[in-house]
Amino acid sequence: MKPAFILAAVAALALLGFSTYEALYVAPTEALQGEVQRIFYYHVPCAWVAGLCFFFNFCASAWFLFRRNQAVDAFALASAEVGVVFCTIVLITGPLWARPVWGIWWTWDARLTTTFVLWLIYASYLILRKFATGGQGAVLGAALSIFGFADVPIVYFSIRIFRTQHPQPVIAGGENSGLEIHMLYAFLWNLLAFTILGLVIVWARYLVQRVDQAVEEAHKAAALRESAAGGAA
Amino acid sequence: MNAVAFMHAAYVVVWVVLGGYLADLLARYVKLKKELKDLTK
Repeated sequence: MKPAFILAAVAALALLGFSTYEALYVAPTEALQGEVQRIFYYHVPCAWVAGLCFFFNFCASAWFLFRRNQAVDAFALASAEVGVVFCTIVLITGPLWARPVWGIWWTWDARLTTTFVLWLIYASYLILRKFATGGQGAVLGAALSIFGFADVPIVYFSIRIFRTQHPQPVIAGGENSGLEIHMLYAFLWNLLAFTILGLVIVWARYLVQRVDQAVEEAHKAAALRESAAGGAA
Repeated sequence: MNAVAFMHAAYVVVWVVLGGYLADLLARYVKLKKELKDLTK
């Protein structure tokens, strides 16, 4: 294991410890929602990391279609899988926040629906990668993810374009948006911590995928050796 | 369930999902490394 990876993992864990403390104990309690609003400090950074991972997947997929590089394909798969994990967290923590505040677990408004569709797109990408046969999984997956990424800006702008049950943007949302300064610090610490954690997990998943590719190559080489030995006999 | 319980549930869910995923990644890594070692003997 590379020292840089271990260093990044330790930094992520230390930052997460500090940022969780900031979110739970330092940030003031929101006046209208009360304690449950603290879900915000995990929910939004996880959504950001999911979007970032899908962006990485989009770039790597486009690159792969031109260069057919195995390392790039491994990075594309790693970023999509980690993106789905973080998107899953968003889809679970969202309803846990909604139930006490809205009185409902879920509603089919533009933000929630497009986020769920985003999860479905990348889950289908992972299923395609797992079950495609004949070595076409990487190419088909890359094509799917390039079109699938179109949903990411739709998710982002959905609360700006449509009237939604989901709150309007708090960060960069115009004149009446913004956070109290201690809330903003807690949010930024969590954003940084989850971003580093997300990158570390993508890195770890990439390493696993590279070993997987090496195993596949070793299987092919073994099959060729057996075939050559059979032909010689 | 009161609002604080929902907040705790959300924080627990995050760490259960991430912890489970990391454990799965580690198990996959160990299995693949062993398989690669066996294949390249």
